[in-house]
Amino acid sequence: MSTRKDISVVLIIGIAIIAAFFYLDVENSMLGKISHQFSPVDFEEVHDRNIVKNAIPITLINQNNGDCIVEGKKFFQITNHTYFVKSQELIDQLQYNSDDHTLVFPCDQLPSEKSRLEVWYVTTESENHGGKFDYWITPWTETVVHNLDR
Amino acid sequence: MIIKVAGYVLMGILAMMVIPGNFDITTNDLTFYGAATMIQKDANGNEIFSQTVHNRIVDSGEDFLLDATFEDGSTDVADDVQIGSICISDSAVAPVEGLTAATFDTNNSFTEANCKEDTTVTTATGVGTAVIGSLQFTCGGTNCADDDVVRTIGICQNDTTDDLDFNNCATEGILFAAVDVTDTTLATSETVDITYTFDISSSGT
Repeated sequence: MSTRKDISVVLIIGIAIIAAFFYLDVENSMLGKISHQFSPVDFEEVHDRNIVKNAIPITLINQNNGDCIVEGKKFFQITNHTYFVKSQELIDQLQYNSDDHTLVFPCDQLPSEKSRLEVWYVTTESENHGGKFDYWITPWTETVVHNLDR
Repeated sequence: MIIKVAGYVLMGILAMMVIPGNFDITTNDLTFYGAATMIQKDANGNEIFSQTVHNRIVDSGEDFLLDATFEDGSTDVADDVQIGSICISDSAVAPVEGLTAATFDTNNSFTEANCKEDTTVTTATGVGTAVIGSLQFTCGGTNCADDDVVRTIGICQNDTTDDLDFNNCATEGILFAAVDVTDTTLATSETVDITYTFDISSSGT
């Protein structure tokens, strides 16, 4: 009897949780705040002021079993900022070699031999997604014409 | 026993779904901000690094805004005072609200004309932004020496006597804001283009 009663209580609570998902603003509840800490960064939820945006050209050097090794000469300038609190995470993810300035990406992420690596990170002052970062690769477009006078 | 534990866990989850996560009644919406975009280029003019970072509006910048906007008949801000210059600095001191133009200059070791002014700052009616630049800085003795490191950007008052590059922010007067950028070394013939955007647009005010 006690077990049947317990099961009934659990079922009722379960139904209440399902109803709460539909009728309550769970996003701004304590549960929403906690789950936000573990969710990927959503830059739409971050004020522009709290986003540091970086970009560098990267050039393919070598391929090895689906992994592409690229040169990113100025990558250290992206990670070397006090606002970028999780820079070591990115360095580890991309297997950055500071001696020859190389990074490793899956080859299917590279659109061309020379590409653009964008890294955005959120300052810790941000109410949402503070400290988080993300990166992506796009085709490189030259923004300045070669100066023939030099 | 397990069912009881599951029940307690579900109760906890339900409680967290019901309790609001933000007890602050303010909206925390930012009403205005500024940001600098820095584009480093190699000797051939090709982009090799870019960064956009928010600023710190310092006390003298806030005073300027309030004095210029609200003070009637006051001499605190003359008619010909405008914020339209960008200064580069190798200061490693992080910008704080109380930073002054004098301190900005003291912390900077560049002896060249490290400040450039934009005489046609763009302000778009109804958009709520002002844009200074882009202004191009060249080392090799022009705005800095070769291999100098740019660490901080200052947004300063324009020179009221001419439009030439000048040395030091305090020379002209007001430091409006400062930006902490990543250490950027300018090798021979490399340049850096800097644009500053001040945004007071807001849908709620």
